[in-house]
Amino acid sequence: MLTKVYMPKNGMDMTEGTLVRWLKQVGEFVEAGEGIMEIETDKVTMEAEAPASGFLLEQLYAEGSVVPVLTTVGYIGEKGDRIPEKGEDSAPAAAAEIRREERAAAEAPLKRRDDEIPATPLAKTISKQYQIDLRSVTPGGSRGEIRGADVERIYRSRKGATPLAAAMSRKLGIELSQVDGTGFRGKITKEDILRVQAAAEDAGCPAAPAGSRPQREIPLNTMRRVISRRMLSSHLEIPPVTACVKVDVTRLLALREEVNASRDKAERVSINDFIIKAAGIALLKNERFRMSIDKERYILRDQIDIGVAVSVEDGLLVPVVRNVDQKNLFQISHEAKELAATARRGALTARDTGNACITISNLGMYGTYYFTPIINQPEASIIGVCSIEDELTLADGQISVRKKTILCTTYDHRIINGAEASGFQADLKALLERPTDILLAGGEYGC
Amino acid sequence: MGEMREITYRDAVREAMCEEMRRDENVFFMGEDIGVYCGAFGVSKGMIQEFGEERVRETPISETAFVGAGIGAAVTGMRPIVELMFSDFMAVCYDQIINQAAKMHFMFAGKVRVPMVIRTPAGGGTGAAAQHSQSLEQMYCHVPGLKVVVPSTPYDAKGLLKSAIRDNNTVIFLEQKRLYKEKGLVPEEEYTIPLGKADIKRRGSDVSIITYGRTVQMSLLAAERLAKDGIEAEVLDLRTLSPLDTGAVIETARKTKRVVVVHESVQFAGFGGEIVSTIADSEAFYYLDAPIKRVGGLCCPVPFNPQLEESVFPTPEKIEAAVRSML
Repeated sequence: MLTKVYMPKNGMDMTEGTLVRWLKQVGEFVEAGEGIMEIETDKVTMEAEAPASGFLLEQLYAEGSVVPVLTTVGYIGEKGDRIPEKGEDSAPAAAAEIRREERAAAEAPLKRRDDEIPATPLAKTISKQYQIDLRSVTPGGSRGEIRGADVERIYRSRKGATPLAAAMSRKLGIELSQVDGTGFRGKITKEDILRVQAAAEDAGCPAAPAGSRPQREIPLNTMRRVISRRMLSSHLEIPPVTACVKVDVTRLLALREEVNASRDKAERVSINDFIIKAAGIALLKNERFRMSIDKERYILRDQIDIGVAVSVEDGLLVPVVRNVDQKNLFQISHEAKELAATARRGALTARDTGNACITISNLGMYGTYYFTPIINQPEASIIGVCSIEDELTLADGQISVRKKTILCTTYDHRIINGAEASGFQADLKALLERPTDILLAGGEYGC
Repeated sequence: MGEMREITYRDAVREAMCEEMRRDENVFFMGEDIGVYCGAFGVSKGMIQEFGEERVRETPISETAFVGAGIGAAVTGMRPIVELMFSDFMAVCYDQIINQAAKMHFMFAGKVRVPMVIRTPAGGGTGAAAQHSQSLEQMYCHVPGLKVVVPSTPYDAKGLLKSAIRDNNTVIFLEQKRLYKEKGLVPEEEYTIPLGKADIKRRGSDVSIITYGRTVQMSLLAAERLAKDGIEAEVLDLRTLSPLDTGAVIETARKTKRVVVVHESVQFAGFGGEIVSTIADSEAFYYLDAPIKRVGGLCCPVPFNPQLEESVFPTPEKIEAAVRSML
């Protein structure tokens, strides 16, 4: 007598299992209750017992297949027993019982020619998207056809996502291959999908719900992927505070004009160069701004290196001006220009980036009034420079027009507290408002 | 929306006519027994008292004559509403509708228009037998130059009829005689519903039931039952069959990936075929996850016997079974 071997249903929420390994080969004798195959659910790996004694006549699924529960995966019987044709008995037993009552007699299994794979248009469409060969998909349709859900199941098992996570990824238009799983054995969970969605929204591009308007998929290039990962990690790990200070740059602008009057256009000093130099001086005095944090300890660096954010085509780079305290304004200006040009050419080397104390991000030329820059890890802070604007100022009973800008400093509150941050900002403000101090401080003078 | 009150489908139709007749003196009403008798279904109750015999005109029993008179009046700039006692009788004045009303604007190089509404009760479920129970909307959809509207609720009936009266084309307005006594919420203030826009009567994600007319309510009932098993059906009410809101049809099919088309009229060569073709011929095709099902009237004359009549038409049970067969 022929006995079916089912994929067992272990627990209410089990809908499918992986047939990890056959413990008996075709033609081998098996005792009832003896292990016949090893199966894996999303919780455990276990042996399934043979439902009857006899010879294993057929293995309908290869090892590694993901199979819906209560699906026949093989037959035990006497040698010579007739095995039903494939498709004759492929629907899950429990589901088939329910369906049988509801289905009209006309819904007989589809007659298929040798090389044909009956599949719904949806199954064909998504199998192409996921690059899944339909021949590897177990049909779940009542007439032996492959449906969308059958392809999804393979995709999930290949990528290792929970059904909920897979459904969410489809709805939110998130590509599973772009998601790192944190569940059991790296399985993608609902939380992983939510995290990726939140990151996408932070980056200003909410995942569009699938709708009738066509949407395009634009893969991240390597730079964008690195930026995306680093920004997310900074955002998730650092408790940030952004503090702003208004700086009167009237004298700074006048000084710059004076300094640049005798210089070639290519050698002119920018406001940003003054800020780099001033930050270098302030960093010397404020050591917490030179720290990074590594679990239980702070790491203090004495080399005053400052990163300068440079917008490049389709991305952002942060080349670093080294030893700012030992260089004068003109050296810094020259180096910063060289680095920015190299960055735009895409020719920065590993030496040119990384290991800075702080980063300066200048959006002044875009008219930005205020922003909250995100810290470039493992640095402790980042200075955001805003646009310079005319402002009416009341001083000594006199109204005058002054040039003002806002510096927005985001700092890591694990390293720097509010008073310390204010001290650094006050030093920076004082230097920029008495800019001759910037020229006189440290370095070899001349040039 | 402001104050709402519950009125019947029949009252909604009358309100639309009265409001438009008060608004535009070119609108008038014509048909058999629509005066003191108030029409076979009591739709025009009180109208002859308000508007008088000039504007509520009783006609002899000759559909060809009074539809033809309506066309003539429309060509001269009037906006006639012509009532046919049963939509089955349109067969009597087929030439007037198909060859005259629908064609004149085009054959006279746009120099004339036929802004006429033919209002007529359609459909079965009243034990009125084979010559008084048909749903023949698909025949008029096939004629360029006609618009075809089939409202499913009092709210839709009023808003759509007002738009139909203001439309410059001949509009075939197929009321559902079985729905005349059904009540629904209708605003106190004035509103119109544009022709050619479908309406999602229930949102869902698992299957789309695309329908119109009397089967909208049946589809909603079926959807409620399915929801008990976690199956969320979307019910799309087409409201206007011609012009068809193809965008809404394609969108819902693309969204739920499974479609059941439901109408009371005979399934064979019915309007459902047009809906199915619209989907098959669109981007939505690639996302279908089951063959599209139709639930329509059986291909036989509507029986007089009430039990047999019931078995000919779609029911919530039949719609529910069709949905379940595809999941």
